[in-house]
Order: sequence, then C-alpha cells, then structure tokens
Amino acid sequence: MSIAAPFLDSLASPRDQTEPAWLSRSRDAARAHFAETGFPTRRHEAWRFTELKSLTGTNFAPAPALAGDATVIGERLCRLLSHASRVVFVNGRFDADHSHICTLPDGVFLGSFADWAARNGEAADLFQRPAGAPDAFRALNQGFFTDGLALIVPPGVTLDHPVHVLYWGEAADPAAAQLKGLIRVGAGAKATVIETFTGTGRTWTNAAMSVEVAETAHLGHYRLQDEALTAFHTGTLDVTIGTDAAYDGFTLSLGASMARQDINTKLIGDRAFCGVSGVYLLAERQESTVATVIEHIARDGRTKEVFKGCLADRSHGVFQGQIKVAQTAQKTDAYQLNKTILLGDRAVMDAKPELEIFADDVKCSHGATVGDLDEAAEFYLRSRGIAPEQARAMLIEAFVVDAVELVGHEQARDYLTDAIGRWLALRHPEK
Amino acid sequence: MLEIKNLHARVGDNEILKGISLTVNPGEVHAIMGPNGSGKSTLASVLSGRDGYEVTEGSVTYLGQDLLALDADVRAREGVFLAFQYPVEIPGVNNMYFLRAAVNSVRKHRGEPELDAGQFLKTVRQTLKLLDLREDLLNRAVNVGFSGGEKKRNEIFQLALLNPKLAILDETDSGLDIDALRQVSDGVNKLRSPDRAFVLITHYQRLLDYIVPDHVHVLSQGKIVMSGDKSLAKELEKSGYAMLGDAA
Repeated sequence: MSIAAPFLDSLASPRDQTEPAWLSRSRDAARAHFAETGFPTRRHEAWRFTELKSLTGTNFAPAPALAGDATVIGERLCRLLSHASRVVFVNGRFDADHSHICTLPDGVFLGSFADWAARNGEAADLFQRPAGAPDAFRALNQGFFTDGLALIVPPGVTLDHPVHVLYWGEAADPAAAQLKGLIRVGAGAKATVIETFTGTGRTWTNAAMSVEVAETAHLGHYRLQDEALTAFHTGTLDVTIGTDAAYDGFTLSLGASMARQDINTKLIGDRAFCGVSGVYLLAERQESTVATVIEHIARDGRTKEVFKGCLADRSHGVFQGQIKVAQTAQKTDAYQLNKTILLGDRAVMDAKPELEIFADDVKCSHGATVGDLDEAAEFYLRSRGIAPEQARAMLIEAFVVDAVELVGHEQARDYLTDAIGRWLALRHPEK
Repeated sequence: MLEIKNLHARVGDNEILKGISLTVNPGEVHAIMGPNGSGKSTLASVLSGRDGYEVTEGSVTYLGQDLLALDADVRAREGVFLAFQYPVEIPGVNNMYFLRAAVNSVRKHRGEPELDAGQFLKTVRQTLKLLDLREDLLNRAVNVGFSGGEKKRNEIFQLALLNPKLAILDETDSGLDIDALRQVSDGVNKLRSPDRAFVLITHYQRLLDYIVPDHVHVLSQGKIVMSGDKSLAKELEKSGYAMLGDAA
C-alpha cells in the first residue's frame, strides 16, 4: 500500500494530449486500482513463492524513447526467423526502421497496438478491472502502456509467414517499459507468432497480452524471455480458445534477475485444445516464476501442459500450475507435468500443481518432480571421453528436449533449441 | 601396458580389493573370473575411474602414467575403454550424436582433426559392416528400449569406434543368449590386435569358449588366488568356485 503511490509517481510521464478520452479514463481507473491494492504479497496464495522485493524496492522511471544500439539490435535481428514478418519495439515503442512486414492478405492488421487502438476507439479497451486479488501488473500496464503488438487475422485467413516480434529494452538507470499486446485469430484462421524479449541494462518489462483464438482457428505462440541478467520481467498472458480451436503455446525463460510469467487460458468452446508448455534455465541468483491457470469451461477440451527446467547456482524457480474443470466441462482431458533438475546445491524449486475438478467424467493427471542430474548417465558419457561440462550440457539438453518437441512449428522449435544451446555453451563451455 | 601393484580399494568402510597385482601387455587377453562378490566389478570400476571407490593402497600404471590420477573422461581419451555390465539408458540423447561427441573428444585429445557429420557417418557404416550390426541402433536414444543383446552390441560398437588401447569388458556375457554371445564375441575377436589388450571380467567360463584368453586369473575375496592359461578356466568349470576354499 505504502509503496504504491511513489511507484505511480515515478512511472508517470506528461500525459499525451492527443490521447482519446476513453483511454485516459481507462488508464485512470487502472492507476486507481493499483493505488488502492498495491502489489500482491506472499500472503496471496498465487504469489506465495514469488519474491517481489527486488522489484518493488527499485525506483523505476518510464523507459526513455531511444533508437537503441543498432549494432546489437541488428545482431539479434539476424537470429530471428527468416521468411517472417518482423515487428520491433525498442523500450516499448514501435521501431518502424527495424521492422519488416511481409505482404499480408487482405484484412490483416499487423503492427503497433497504439495505431490499431487509435482506429478502433473504445473497442480497443482490453482492460477489465479485476475483482478480488490485487492485479498490480495488469493495472500498471494499463495505466502506463506505450505500445506493443497488434495482430488481427480475419476469419478464414492463413498467414503464410510467421510473425516474429523483438522487444528490445535498454536503460542504464532503472526504467520500465509497459507493453500491451493483442492477437486475434478469426474463425478458421491460422497464424504463428514468436516473441523475443531481450535487452541490456536495468530494464523492467511489464507485458500484458490478450489472445483470442476463435472457433476452428489455430495459433502457434512461442515466446523467448532472454532479458539481461540485470533486468526484471513480468508478463500476463490471457488466452481464450473457441470451439474446435487450438492454441499451441510455449515459453522459454532464460533471462532477467527476477521474472514472472502469468498465463491464464480459458477453453470456452467445445473440443478446444490448449497447449501451454515451457522450459526455464536459471543460474546465479535468478528468480523465476511460472504461474498458469487453465480453465476448462466447455466440453471435450484437451490441455497439455509440460514445464521443465534446470536450476544452477543459487537460483530459485517456481511453478504454480492450476487446472480448473467446470461442471460444464465434461470429457475434459488434461495433462500437467512439471519436472526440475537442481544443478546447484543451493538452488531451490517450489512446485505447486493444483487440479480443481467439478465435472465427474474427466481424465486429468498431474505430476511434479525435483531431482538431480543422473549420475550414472553422466559417468557413462564421461567413460566415453566426453568432458564433464559437455556431458552435463548433453544431459540438460536431453532433459528439456521433450518439452521443446511440443512446439508445433519447426522453425520456431529450432529457434528455441538454438537459444537453449547458447545458454548451455555459456554455462558449460567445452574445454 | 597396464601394471597393477598391490591394489587395495574400498567402498565406504567396506574393503573390497585386498591387494591385487596384475601385469597386462599389449596384444594380450586376460580373463578375470571369480564368484559373486569377489571384487571383479569393483576392479573394473576402479580402473575406469567411477566415483565412490577409494584406493587405499597400491598403484596402477598405464602406459607409464599413474592411471588413478586421471579423471574418468581423460582415461577414456588416453585409450582405456570400459564395456559396462549394465549400459546406461539416456533418454533424449541420440545415439549417433553421443557417439560422434565421444569419438571427437578422443580424436581432439590425440591431436587428430574432428570428424564432421558426413565423415563420421562413413566411419560408422564401415564399423557396422565390420561387426555385422544393423543401422537401426543409431537413430535411437542411447540404449533406450534396447534389448539386453542390443545394449551389449552397442558397447562393442563403441569399443570399435573409440579404438582404445586397453578394453575392459565387465560381464559382457551376462544376460546374452547364445546367438548374441556369439555375435558379441565375434566382434571382440575382430578387434583383437597386437597393440590392444583386453581384460575380460566374467563369472562363467562360457565366454572364454568364444574369446580365447592368453591368461586366466581367479579372484576371490579381493585377491587373485590363482593364475594360469586357458585350461584354468576349464578346470574351474568342472570343479566350480567351491574349490577356492582350499586355494584361498
């Protein structure tokens, strides 16, 4: 409560006079919500294991508008998928120079959320003031967002090229970028979106993304959180999945000193498919939370959720995975698995799987394990001449590979696998 | 090549090897036989550098260097190979990828250029042909879902690829039916050469019908209690390990 006011003050920048009235109203409401409730604490069940002190104790200014280090951005751009539309944001602002949008089918919008919102008026107000628990990160996002991705795919349209979004953050002194995003895939439409969050310095990225997958539509949505180790990252992802639609989501978390991903999906149409999986690789004193809430509301829905990770040094990982099956969601088939390997003696994992089932005819399973790297396997590799560091890297990669294999898009899978390879090469250099 | 002198080793407080001495020269095949619990597998583990074994006395010299001072992976790169009694299953690691990493580690150590995927495949195909093995072992995860025989064949296949100077085979015959035993033994026989030595650790004489040793040693309660030529194995087969009661 006490830290809410200074937070609001330091994040405030002069109001954009051209901002539409509805948006100003919505922002005021969101800021008021935050002023009232402040940050969640560990007394809130959903935040029990997430240490927010380092974030709430930092004095963030709004991220400055800047061109960004062109060399570094260029280098990161090279790693993005080829044959993809590229949308680049620097410190929360659309960067037209670095973006490259492929020829799009009629009716598709791809680019800046602010642009799209300006054309769509109040319909672009995605913020809903939540009831109950404080929703600090959503509220701060709405109160202060600058820009972010908008992708609108009309019914029946297939995007031939994936969309790759690069969010670059850069700040010497603590600075916050609030990214708002919307992906709307119309009935029977098909799209693939890859998001990469990266940067340098003491940035805080607070992203809020809404995703709507209409009936029989398909969205592949793959995210790489590879922020600087001095950075903070919080993200809220809200997904609705319609009848016979499929959402294939994956999150690879490698960066940030403190990170939290909240993923909330609702299967609102019958026979919907929800894939929410990911990998986290942490080292040093990194803190990373994955908190998912998957709600089955309609019949015959399917969920596949696999999160795997390795924690080195003194890192701390948290997985809080909730699957709720409403009484209306008969014949739900939900699978959840969380497996972690502790590489460091002082690494800590908190895992809390939760199933809440109100329908009687469902198939739901969950499992969570925390263990060590297989010593027998490590010795076997070493007995064949493979150096200890390389042997461990091979076993870590092998451990997470079956989660990565759930990514349904080959190029995206390769992109994520390469990022894992770079992490391993850095942490386990071959002698 | 290998000189073991008065080797004592223990696991925890349990002394298992109680003074083993053994000299192995290039080109020789030594069989080490003995009942369960005599220390056969401990000897293999100590020689290959497995963690958890403490050498309390004695020395092991391999090609003039102190073998016990080398890490397990360095021993392998220096040409010591252990064929496991229970090869380890490693889900998620492709056998081909693993084999290339292993072969290139050894090659790098020897100052030889590393093999690219194409060159490696060529070497692999030649080796498969030499050992009369099928290619389907290659694209599976290391030992995962392999039958007992396939696992042991994969060990011999690795032996051939890594081209060691000293190969230690730990109960390679255990769990094999007669056809698999014959195939594995044929593979070993093809890999015998004047500059490579083998140490065969086995409980049964059966293996020695197929791989004929130059020397046979009998291990009992952590010591070599008898040594002889191949006829010693035959004798043991007739009388059983019970005869050790007198010798030990």
